[in-house]
Amino acid sequence: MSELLQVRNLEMSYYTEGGRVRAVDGVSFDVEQGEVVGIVGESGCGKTAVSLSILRLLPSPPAKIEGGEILFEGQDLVKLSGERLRRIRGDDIAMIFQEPMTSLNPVYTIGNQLIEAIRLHQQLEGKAARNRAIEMLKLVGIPRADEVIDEYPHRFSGGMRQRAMIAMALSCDPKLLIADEPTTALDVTIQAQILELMRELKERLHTAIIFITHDLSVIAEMSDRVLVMYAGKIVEQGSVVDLFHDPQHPYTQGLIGSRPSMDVERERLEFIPGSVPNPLHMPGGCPFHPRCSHAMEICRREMPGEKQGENEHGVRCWLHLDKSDDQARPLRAAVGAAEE
Amino acid sequence: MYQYIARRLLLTVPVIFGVAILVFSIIRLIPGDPARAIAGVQASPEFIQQVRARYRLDEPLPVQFGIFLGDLARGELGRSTFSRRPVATEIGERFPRTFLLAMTALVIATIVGVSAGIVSATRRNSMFDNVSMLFALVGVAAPVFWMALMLQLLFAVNMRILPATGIGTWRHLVLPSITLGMASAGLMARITRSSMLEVLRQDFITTARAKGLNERFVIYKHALKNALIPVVTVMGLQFGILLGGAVLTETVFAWPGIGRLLVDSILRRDYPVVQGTVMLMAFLFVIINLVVDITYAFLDPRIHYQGEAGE
Repeated sequence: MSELLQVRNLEMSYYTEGGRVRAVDGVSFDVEQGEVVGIVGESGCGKTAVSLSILRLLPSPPAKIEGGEILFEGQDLVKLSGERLRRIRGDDIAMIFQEPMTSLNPVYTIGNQLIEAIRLHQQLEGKAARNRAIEMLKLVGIPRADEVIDEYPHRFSGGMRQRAMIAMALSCDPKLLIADEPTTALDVTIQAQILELMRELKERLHTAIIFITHDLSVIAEMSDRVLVMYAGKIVEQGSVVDLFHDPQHPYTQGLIGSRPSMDVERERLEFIPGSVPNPLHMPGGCPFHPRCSHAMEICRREMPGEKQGENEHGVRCWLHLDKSDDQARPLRAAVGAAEE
Repeated sequence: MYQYIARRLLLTVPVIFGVAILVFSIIRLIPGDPARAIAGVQASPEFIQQVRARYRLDEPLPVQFGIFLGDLARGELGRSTFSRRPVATEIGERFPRTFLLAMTALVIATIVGVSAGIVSATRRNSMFDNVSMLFALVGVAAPVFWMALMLQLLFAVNMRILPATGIGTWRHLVLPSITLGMASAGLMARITRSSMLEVLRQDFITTARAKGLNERFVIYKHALKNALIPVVTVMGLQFGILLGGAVLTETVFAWPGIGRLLVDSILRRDYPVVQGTVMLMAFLFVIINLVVDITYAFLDPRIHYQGEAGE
């Protein structure tokens, strides 16, 4: 398999009234053809910022890509002209979003919105474009597609709208589909249907997918490889099997531990203490150290580099890196003393 | 759609009825005897009694209201107590002039206001945005009579390229309609701008961009139609205000329209004309609102369907 997308040292900041917020901080990852890469993390960790940066869909100002490369089939999307980027948007790389209720334009029919993408990228006109749209609606399992195509989005349920969004995204046979929390806003039963549909389509169309979610069970079901993000950085990445069976980073361990399980009986769910740091006041060193039970002296001062393990299982944590005894002194006792 | 229009048309009946009650009672609430006002200060008691009988002012109020409604239903508005001509003729003569003035002002306001609003929203905080919003503020804030005098001074007195007052050619229309439309243009520019900014933040705009549509297509197809809904509301209200508010403009530019007729009639205590003019304006306002509501249904498919679901 060959690399479809290579993200190298991506840096993206928001310039707000309170100051500069580094939403994406040195993120690097690859997506191979036909591969499903999951990005997981809590709200505000930069998952969506990464996904919107790829197609440069962030409003600027306040957002600004400040460094790094996004190589798609060798072309750097960061440097591409607006016109050439538009030719890739919707054609080679398509997106579906979290909120199916607000992602479709309420004043145009489903068909109108589907056909405009088909006409733009597929050079199909009139009847042919319409037939292609109907075919896509059928593909995503929308019943009576030839009638439904002329209806407005408000006549659709959330699940149906997300199917229509998927139809729209796949209508031009993209090589890469970016799905930003596509099931978060849906009921659990509908969620399962949409996931099933996406898996089926992926098998059939062989589209690579970047699947963004905060739901680990969705990641486990869908992805080949997983990136765990925290505070704008990738803290751990690896194959889905390695990551779930042998999580290395305390944050990943916390995420996996806080999932409800049917096998183990527990009174209460485990949780990660504290919350995501305020991006305007990022703690120094490793941004996870104030919430980490293994935090050491060095975690407060320096951001760890990435340690590569087997099967490209990488982690950014001082627990797995060489350090002196002094640096390895546990931080918890010190913090506790300081607080008293 | 026709069902929706029919239902809305039916709903105008109670509104017009309410306005009729208001117009009828406000005129009766004015202190003093209308018969005495009609007959004149020096009229003999017998003559006043005659007038009272002729205008059926001696009947009890509910009966008078019944007569008023009956006349109204037949389109009978009575005669002017000043000119002795039928009220319908008086209004019919002047109304087209006011309509022309208000319509021209509305067209100018819409073209200038909506386009300035769109450009301002898409180039937010640019030089264009700041300058046009300043003009919008001045347009809304400047008093109509002052604006009228300044325009007359500049274009009629100094440059001598447009007539200062009167009617006749299209050139007579230019200054009054600009004066009248200025405030509406400012208001519409501001509404369009804020409505566009609101819509441009929506998720479906990101969806449209993610499809690879070019920015002009995103703005004029996807954003504008959504942004126009509040603009159309303001347009409808403004047209009503332009029709009624033409009074000052018509006075300064000696434009013999319905606004001046109303003011003159109030001064002359010409009650039938006042009644007729106010009823006409109210009726027009209701019709304009109906047109606005129908336009909503064309702009936003959800409105039409919600109406159906409500039954």
